[in-house]
Amino acid sequence: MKNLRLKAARAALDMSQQELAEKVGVSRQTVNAIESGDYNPTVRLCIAICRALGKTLDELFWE
Amino acid sequence: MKDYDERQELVRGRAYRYGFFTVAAISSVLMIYCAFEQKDSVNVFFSMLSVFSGIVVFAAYCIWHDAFFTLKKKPTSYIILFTAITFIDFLNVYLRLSLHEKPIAEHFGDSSFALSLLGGVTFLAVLINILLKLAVDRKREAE
Repeated sequence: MKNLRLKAARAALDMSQQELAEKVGVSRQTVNAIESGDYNPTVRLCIAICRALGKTLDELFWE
Repeated sequence: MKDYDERQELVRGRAYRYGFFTVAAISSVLMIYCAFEQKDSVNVFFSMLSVFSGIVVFAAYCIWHDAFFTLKKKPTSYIILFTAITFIDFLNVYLRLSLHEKPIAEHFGDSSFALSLLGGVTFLAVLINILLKLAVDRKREAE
């Protein structure tokens, strides 16, 4: 299932997938896979993404 | 910073499993062949074929799932390195063929020839996969 909230939060900060990937220490393809729902990240990576985007886990990853 | 991120490590683990199964499958076929043909051994080429096939499967799976290159290194350095290795391997194959005039089948028992041929084909296959993946990625980005 696509994670549109993550994509929207990233776009709201005018941040590219590459920029977010560099901030959290993963590849651009991994950010793309999370957004398109092809990969379920670990809690550690979810927290790193939330910190980078200034959001909570609930806001980005809780159904 | 780690060389690979968590998704890439998962993909590489899966690729390793597929590579291992490839080695096991080809080795089994060779063993069955030896048993039926009542041969004590196979030449270097066939005995190493499974290992090099496993390498190609591992690399191709990683390449097509974006888990081959590390986070820091760019594909260019890999392309240069693999091109050089492929060239050296095929040069050795050519030299072996031209210096030692004997039926081509006999060359497969020569370890230097066999390993160079397998190495050359392996690295060429990996190189082709890398270039195709880069072309596909570029096309996707353009769309």
